[in-house]
Amino acid sequence: MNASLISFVLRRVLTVLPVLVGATVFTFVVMRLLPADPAAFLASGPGMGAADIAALRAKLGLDRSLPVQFGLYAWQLLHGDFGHSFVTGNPVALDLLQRLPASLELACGGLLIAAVIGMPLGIAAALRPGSLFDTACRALAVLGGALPGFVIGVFLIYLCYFKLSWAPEPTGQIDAALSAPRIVTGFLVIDSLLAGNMTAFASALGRMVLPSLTMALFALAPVMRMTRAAMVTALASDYIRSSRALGLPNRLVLRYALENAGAPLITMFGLIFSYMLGANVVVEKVFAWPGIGAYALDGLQAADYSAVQGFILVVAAVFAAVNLLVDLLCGWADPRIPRAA
Amino acid sequence: MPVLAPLLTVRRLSLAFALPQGGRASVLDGLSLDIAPQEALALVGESGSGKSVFALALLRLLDRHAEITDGEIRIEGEDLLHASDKRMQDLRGKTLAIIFQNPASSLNPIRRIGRQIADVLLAHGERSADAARRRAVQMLARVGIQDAARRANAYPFELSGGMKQRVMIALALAASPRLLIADEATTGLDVTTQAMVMDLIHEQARANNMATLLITHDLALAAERCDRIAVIHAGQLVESAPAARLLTAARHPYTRALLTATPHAGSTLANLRAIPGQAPDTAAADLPACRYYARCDRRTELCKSLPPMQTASSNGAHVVACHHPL
Repeated sequence: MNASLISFVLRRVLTVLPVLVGATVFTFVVMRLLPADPAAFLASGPGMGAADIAALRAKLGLDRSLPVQFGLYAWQLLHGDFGHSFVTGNPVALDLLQRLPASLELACGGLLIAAVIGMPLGIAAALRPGSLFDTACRALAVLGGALPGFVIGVFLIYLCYFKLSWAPEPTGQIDAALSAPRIVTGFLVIDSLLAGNMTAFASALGRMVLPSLTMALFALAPVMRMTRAAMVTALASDYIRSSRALGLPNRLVLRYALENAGAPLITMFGLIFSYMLGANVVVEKVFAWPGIGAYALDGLQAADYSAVQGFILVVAAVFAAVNLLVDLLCGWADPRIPRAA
Repeated sequence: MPVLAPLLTVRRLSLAFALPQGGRASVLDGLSLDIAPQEALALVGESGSGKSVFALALLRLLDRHAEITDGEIRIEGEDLLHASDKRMQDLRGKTLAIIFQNPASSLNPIRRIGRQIADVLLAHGERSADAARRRAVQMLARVGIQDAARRANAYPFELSGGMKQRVMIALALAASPRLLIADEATTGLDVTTQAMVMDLIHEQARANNMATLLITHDLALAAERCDRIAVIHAGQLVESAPAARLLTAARHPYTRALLTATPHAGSTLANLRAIPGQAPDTAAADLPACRYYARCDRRTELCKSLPPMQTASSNGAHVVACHHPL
């Protein structure tokens, strides 16, 4: 079992490699199609002339042909070197590694809130399809799906911070005056709890509320609708009818339905999580969240090639990891799915 | 033989479906039926005749578009239509149980079969999970599953169609019901497996003093396996009689037509006759009083307006609902 599991994971990792290569080539080309010149951007000081820009271009290797540039970049990548960010001056790998946990923390927080609210609503709607409650949920889902995330984010900041003063100021993960706890998981809320630093924990948790709520509102509609769909399918099935016919108590019948909706729900959560990592970009910007999304957006504005390319690679890798996790969990939730296929 | 109080009594049961496009279909019309303890009764009819709906009505498992408009169902004297939902839950499985047509989809696909049987036992009074598991293995052995202790850990998808139906029977028998309903329980299984499953139902019913209600479109199967046969056409019960008598002395034109449409050993293609026309649309506003009217060669104006007359044989065993019986 364990040996087959390991070989399953290894084979999946191997199938991901072509995807990563494709993503690398694609972003590399697209970035260079942009009508922006990082050298001109960097050398935009008052005393800079055309000669300085040309010197900078040569220094950055931008004067070489595209295939040569790509070959050099790929060679660096193979050695674990994502290049340097023009903007921060740091190695891109280091920047991304420091910022990835913040993004994951936000996506997890949003998904958790969406699941805690959306799943019970979806289940309740599935139990009474066509009812007033079901219709109300549908309307809510349409509304939530129609509002873009940054609008919700800005509105929440306006309401909860400026008007009501319930929320801490929307500037990052933790109060700047507090020292961050030692990094264990990279999730600030968990790390501060592990360190027993309750002040840091309260500050980090407080600052998570609004951005994760914004993310959650974005995910709520799909969570609710897909939970409802999975449950309606399960509840209409023959085995639910026969379990009722056998006199099983309602709680157990509902549990049968939930267990059978498990694999589709896990797949849905994987999809939504991947999707949220993309939606992060705007929300992180609105809340000054130090995640990879805001980093990529800054990089894009500055034509910071390595930063954006690194971001895409990391997101592609996270997508692949989430998909692998989804497949493993589905195999656990549904015995009919071969675990080591 | 002492006259036993009936186990199941159904009186004037009428049931309608609300149609999505508006209007209602009268699916069952004034259906009355008794089943004695330990009796094997077959309910025979074409598809769409309302026989499966009848089974679901007995269990009160109809979907929400169905409404029972009239009549009464009693099991062991207890009024089923007015029982509380909680009481109904106790009765299902324990007093009346059902085996459905499609064993492949009727078992929970992601729960081990032993555990599914244990769930039924625990729902009906068993307290110890260990004892429930042990009895589940015994139940599997009882329905003829080899190596039951190991098989109890199997998932439904790991079993053949015949085995799945055996598991369904084990589930239905788990809480020792008084009445076992088999709704087309062998349809879709191959002939050998069909015979095996029917034998098993028969043998288990006898061993446990259960009554059985066999719901089928197969008159030959009904005659072979049951004491008594009731024939249903478009929601109306047209005739009921002891099996042998129904085969030889059918009085309703529809029963007779069914018999000539049923192939049996020694019959040639020439003496097989299809029943002309089709069952009427039960949603129609102008349904004739006898719903066989349009297909019947003995019809008169009377059949259109006046509900069919019930005639019983002198001992009451053979009942026919027709103005012009044979």
